[in-house]
Amino acid sequence: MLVSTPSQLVNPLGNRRRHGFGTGAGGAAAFIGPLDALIADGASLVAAYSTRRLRSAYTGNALRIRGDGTGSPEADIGFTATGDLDTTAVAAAIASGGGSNGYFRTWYDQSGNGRNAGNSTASQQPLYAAGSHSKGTATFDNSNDQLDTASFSQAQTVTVLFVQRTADRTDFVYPFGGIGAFMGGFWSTTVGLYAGASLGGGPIMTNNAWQQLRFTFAGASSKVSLNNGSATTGDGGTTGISGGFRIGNRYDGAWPMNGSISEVLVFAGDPTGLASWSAFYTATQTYFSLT
Amino acid sequence: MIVFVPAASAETLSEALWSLTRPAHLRSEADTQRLFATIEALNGTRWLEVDTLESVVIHAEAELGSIADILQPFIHAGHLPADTNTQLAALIESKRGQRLVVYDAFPEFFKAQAKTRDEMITAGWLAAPVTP
Repeated sequence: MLVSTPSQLVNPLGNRRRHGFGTGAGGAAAFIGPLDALIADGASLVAAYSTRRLRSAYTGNALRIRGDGTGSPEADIGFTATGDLDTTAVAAAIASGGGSNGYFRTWYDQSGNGRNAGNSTASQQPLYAAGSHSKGTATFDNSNDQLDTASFSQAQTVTVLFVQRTADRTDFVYPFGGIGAFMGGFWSTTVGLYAGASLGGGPIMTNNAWQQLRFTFAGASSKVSLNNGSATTGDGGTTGISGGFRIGNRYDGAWPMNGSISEVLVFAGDPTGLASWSAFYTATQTYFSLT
Repeated sequence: MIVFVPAASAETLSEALWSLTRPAHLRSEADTQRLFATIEALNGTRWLEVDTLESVVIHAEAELGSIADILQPFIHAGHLPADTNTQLAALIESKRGQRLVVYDAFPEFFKAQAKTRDEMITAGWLAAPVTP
């Protein structure tokens, strides 16, 4: 008869390890998510979409993919033991119908709140690509691609972390926003945000580079930052998320995303002051080859 | 290229077009349900937002189905040739297992009414996008 003592059930290193997973006493891998420590420190997730597994507590799939071959087959895609997107399964799903392309039908919410982002219309689904970082990405067509959640609301303060790559930083783009009221992040040479007032003149992205944008919607103390650099601060207005959340476009569909997205994290509050924030950013920088 | 095609039954038509590649009886609720997006213009009319290059593989069990029902009033009204549905059914039959650019199969009557986004805005049917 096997009996586990309480001490055997607790990871002696807690959830502070920076790498993706550890080795248990029996040699079995115990996955530790990149967000575990931040959440343990008090970060409050509103929604979380990524091509990597973010939390040890999340055991669901990463995304639902549609192949463009015969029968337009669809399949849920999970993660490998190390928390990477199961790209072998992606390839198999696309190949099952003899297709050559896959599209994001649904990007599953890893926050535990069930706020999956999806689109049931084929022509609006972003294209799956491995990405130059080989971690998997959703590529938006600069036309009408978008992934929407069901309706929910979240008042400010709201922070959105956004791992993206664009070939044209000068194109006017709203890569995300609330659906029911006008709020979201944007770029047009400089990065900014709008939530009833416009905070512009933020950092300037690099074309064709994976970068993390951070948008903190906090009224007069709103701020935008690139790759965890110094923030541009100002009044962005007080509108929070309402009617749900859209990835890839603005609430009215007017300014579509023109590049690729691998991760979108939405927090209530601002997690950057938490003790484990720097370690989380560094791990993200390494994982997605942010430059 | 995106064009807007007027269609009072835009949602039904979009679902019927998707059924050409994945018939309804093969779909689950979690699956894709429609081919093209639909919009309601500022004057209340419904439009299909068509990607003119979008293509699908025609399924072995695909049927013209509700597409024929949608086209029938236009045939009765004389806007479309009497043999439109027969011609489309033959096209689908000939394309089973092959890729079809869907807009290529649209009757000319509808293509003639298609508008670009700029044309929709100029006509006052879509709002001009504003920047903050």
